[in-house]
Amino acid sequence: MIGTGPNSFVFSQDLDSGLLNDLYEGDLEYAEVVFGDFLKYLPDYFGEIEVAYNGKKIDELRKAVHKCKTLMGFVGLSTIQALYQAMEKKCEDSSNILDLETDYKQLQKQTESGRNIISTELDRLKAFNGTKK
Amino acid sequence: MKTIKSIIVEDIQVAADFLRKFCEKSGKVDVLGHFLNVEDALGFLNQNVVDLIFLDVEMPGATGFDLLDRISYSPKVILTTSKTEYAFNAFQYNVADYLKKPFTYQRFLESIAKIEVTSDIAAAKVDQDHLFIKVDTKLIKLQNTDILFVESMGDYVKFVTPNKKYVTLNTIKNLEEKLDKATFLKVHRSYLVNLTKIDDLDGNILLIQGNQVPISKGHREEVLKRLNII
Repeated sequence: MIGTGPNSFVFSQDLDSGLLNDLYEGDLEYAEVVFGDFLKYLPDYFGEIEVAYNGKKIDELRKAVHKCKTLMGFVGLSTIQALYQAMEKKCEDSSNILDLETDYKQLQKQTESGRNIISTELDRLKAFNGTKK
Repeated sequence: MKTIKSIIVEDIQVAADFLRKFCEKSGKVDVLGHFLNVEDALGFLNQNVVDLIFLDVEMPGATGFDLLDRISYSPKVILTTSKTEYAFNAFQYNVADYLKKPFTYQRFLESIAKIEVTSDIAAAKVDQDHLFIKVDTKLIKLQNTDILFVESMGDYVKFVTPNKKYVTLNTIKNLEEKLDKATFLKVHRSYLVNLTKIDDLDGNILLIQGNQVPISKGHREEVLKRLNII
């Protein structure tokens, strides 16, 4: 089990640790792989959001938001994932890109915050897994 | 124990890798390929037979449901999506299960168990050379060799034989699973034909003992492959 013994790993309180414990079932080496992949793919995925937003293409924006939303789930960024979920719904309901400006800026900010959290968590995972090798 | 041959159709690499890992861990599912979009998946499915497709819905270009419309046979399907709104469509397409991403290994195993159960039922029916259909209050026995083709009529299907037509409550999707795949082929969303009964092919129309059956664009390649053209 993760987070129960003195030498166990406890996920950051900024993350949905219950979800992460269920997903990884103690396989922290795989968690390290996925957290690394998250950081690898996030710039491209969020880049798709930026391109769609700047191009005022709401349906493309919705699809790009949906994709990024899914990615958030694999690293336990559930709070940010909920913002993506709300943005996706707004994209479905809106016909004017200006209606989405506030939400878009908030997503930008929160995504950057999430990236930093995962980056720190990845370092912790590497350090923890390193001590076990 | 026979493993389930599968493919993953998923545009998010992390999600596909996660799923592949679960498949390997279970020892029950072989992943023959991962495709980032529907077109690439269809290219593979036109050349290879799989038991199961793990299918995302929202992908660049065509959706997962477009793939189900265009595939020429009916493997089991487990939808993998992060959007619950697709549940109704999933029901309409008769998918085996619906996994909301990210899902746990336990949930994955439950889903595979459903596939195994339905596969066992299908295997038990393989050797049958006939079927019974319910028409009004009677059960009528039809030999596979008597069936020319089956046509969808909404919630009903029409079995066409040389001498008679029978309408019964069923779906093409369901029959495709139950009828012998070596003999019967879906040539259109609304038609299953007995390959041994085809007289001619004229453009996109099959002629079967005076009946005309259309071939859809998505099924044409598979039909041509199965007709033993030299």
